[in-house]
Amino acid sequence: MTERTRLRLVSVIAFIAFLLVWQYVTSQGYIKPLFLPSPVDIVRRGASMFSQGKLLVHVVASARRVLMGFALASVLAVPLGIMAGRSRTMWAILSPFISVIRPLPSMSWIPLSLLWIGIREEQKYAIVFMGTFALVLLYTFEATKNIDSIYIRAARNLGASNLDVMREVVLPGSLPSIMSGLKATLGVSWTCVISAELVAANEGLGYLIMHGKEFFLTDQVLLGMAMISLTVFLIDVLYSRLEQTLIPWR
Amino acid sequence: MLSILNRKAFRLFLAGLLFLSLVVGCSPVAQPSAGEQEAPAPEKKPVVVIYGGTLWLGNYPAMVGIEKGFFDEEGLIVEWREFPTSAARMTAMAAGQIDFGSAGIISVLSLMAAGEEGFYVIGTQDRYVGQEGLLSQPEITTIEQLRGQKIAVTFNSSSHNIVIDVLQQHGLDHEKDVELINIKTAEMMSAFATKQVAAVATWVPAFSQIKDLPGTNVLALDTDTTFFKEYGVGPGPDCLVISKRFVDENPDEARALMRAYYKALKYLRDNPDECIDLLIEYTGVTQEQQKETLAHIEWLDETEQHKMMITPGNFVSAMRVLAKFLWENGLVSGEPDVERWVNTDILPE
Repeated sequence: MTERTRLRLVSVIAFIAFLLVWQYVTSQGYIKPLFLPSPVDIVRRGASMFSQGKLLVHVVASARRVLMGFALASVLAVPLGIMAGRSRTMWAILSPFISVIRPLPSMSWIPLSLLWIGIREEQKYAIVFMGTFALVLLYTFEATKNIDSIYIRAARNLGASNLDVMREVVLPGSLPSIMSGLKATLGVSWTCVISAELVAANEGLGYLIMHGKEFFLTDQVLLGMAMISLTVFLIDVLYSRLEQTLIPWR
Repeated sequence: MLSILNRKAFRLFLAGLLFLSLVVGCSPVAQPSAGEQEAPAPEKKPVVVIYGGTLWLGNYPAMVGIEKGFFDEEGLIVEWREFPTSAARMTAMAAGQIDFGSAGIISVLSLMAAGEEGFYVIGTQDRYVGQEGLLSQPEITTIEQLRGQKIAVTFNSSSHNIVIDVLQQHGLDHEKDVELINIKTAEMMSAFATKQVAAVATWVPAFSQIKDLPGTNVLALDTDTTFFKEYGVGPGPDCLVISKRFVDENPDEARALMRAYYKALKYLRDNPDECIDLLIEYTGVTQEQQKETLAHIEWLDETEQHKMMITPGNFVSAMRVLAKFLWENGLVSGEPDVERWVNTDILPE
C-alpha cells in the first residue's frame, strides 16, 4: 500500500466513522431531528427531491450563477491584474477602487443591484461578480508582481519585445499563482451566490437552505449545505484537471 | 502498517467520543427553559417569563403588560426578547429559549409539521384585516390577466397564502400559470414601481404605499380568501404560543400570566390613546402612525378566545384548514393534527 493510498484510506475511514457516530446519536434520540436530522434522513430528502426533479434544478441554478459571475469577474480582473502587476501607473489608478470594493461583503451589494438591475437573473451574476472581482484582481496582481525581474531583464537582453516578455516570461511565471488565486476565489463565489439567492430567487441552493430554515425542514437545510460542498468538490476536481492541462510543468 | 492503522483507529475512536459528548452536551433537549431556571424557590420568588416578540402589532398587549406593570401584579417578571421573524421566535421556542410569545400561524404550523411538540397554542389575540392584499399595475385589472405574469410576494408569509388561495379561486395554478418571485417587503416598492412585476402581494406599510401609487389596482384583499370567508380568520393570523414545559411545571403561574395578558389587552383596547406613547418607545413610529395602526386592530379578549378556541372554535378549524393548505401546496413535510397543540386550560374564565 502506497503512502498516498494509506492516507486516502484514513480519510475515508474518518469520514465514515463521523457519519456512523452522527447516525447513532440522532437515531438514538439524543438530539431532536429538528436540531440535527440523521444522515439517512438527509439522504432520503435528497433522493425524494431528486426523483421529483427538484434537486438538480437548485444545483444547476446556483452553479450557473457562480460560473457566470465568476467567469465575468475573471475575464475582466485577470488582464487588469496583470497590467497592474507590470505597470505602477496602472496600479496607482486601480488601487483606490480595489481598496474600496475589497472589504465590502457581497450582501451589501443586494440593495443597489436590485435598484440598478432589478430582480432579473443578471442581478445574481452581479452579486457574484462584485464579491469576486477585487479578489481575482489582487491575486493576479500579486502573482504578476512577484515574478523575479531578472528573468525579464534576461529576456530583454536576448532581444525579446514587450509582447514576447508577456507571452514567454510573465504569463508562464505567474500562471500557477493566478490559477491558485482563481481556485480560492471560486470557493468564495459560492458564499456570494448564497447571499444573492436570499432575495428574489425561487431556485438555487441558497434558496433551498432559506426555505428549509423558514419551514423548519432541517434535513433540507443540511441537504442544501451538502450539495454546495459536493458541487464545489466536483468543480475543484474539474479545475485541477484544467490546471494540469494549462500548467503541466507545475 | 497495522500498528499505524491501529493508532489511527484509536484516535478516530477518541474523536468519535469527543463528538458524541459535544453533541449530547450541546443538545437543546438538555437545556432548561428560562422559566425553569427561575423555578419558584420555597420563599416564592417571582417567576421570570421570557417573552419572544417583535415590533409587529400582535405584540402590543405584551408591551402594555410589561410597561403598565400588569405582569408584576401577578408576581411575574416578564422579560422582552426580540426576534426579527416568526420562524426565529419559534426556533427559540423549540430550543427552550423563550417561554411565551406571539408568532404568525404559518411558522407555528410549520414547526408542528416538523414534529416539535414542546409548545402549546393558547389563543389568537387580534384580528387585523383589510391591510394586506394583492395589488397590480394599472393595465392588470382582473386576476385572470395575471396568467403568465410575474407576482412579487414574500414566500412563507400570509401574503403568499393570499396569492395561492386567490389564484386557485380563479382557476389559476401558482406554480404553472404565474411566476411568483420571492421578495422581502422592503424591496416590494422598487420592484413594483420599476414595473419589474405585474403585481405584488404584501401587507402594511408596503401595501398602503403601493396602493397609493397612481393607477394601482387592488385585485384582492385578505378578506377575499377562503380562510376569511369561511372562518373569519385572515390567511396568516397571529397566535399566542407558550412553552409546554413552562405550563406543565408552573400551571398556576401560567394562568396568572394569561390573566395579566388579557388585562393588558383589554386596557389597550379600551384606552388606545393612553398606550400610544409607551408603544412608540418600542415601535419607533410617529404618534399619528401608531394611532392609525391601532385604529384598524380588533382585539380579541378572553370571551372571544373561548369562541375562537373552544366553541365553536373557528380559529382551530382555520388552523386545520391552513395546515392542510400548506401540506397540499408542498410547503411543509406533513399535515399536523393541530388539536394536539391546542391548550385552553389556562385561559381565564
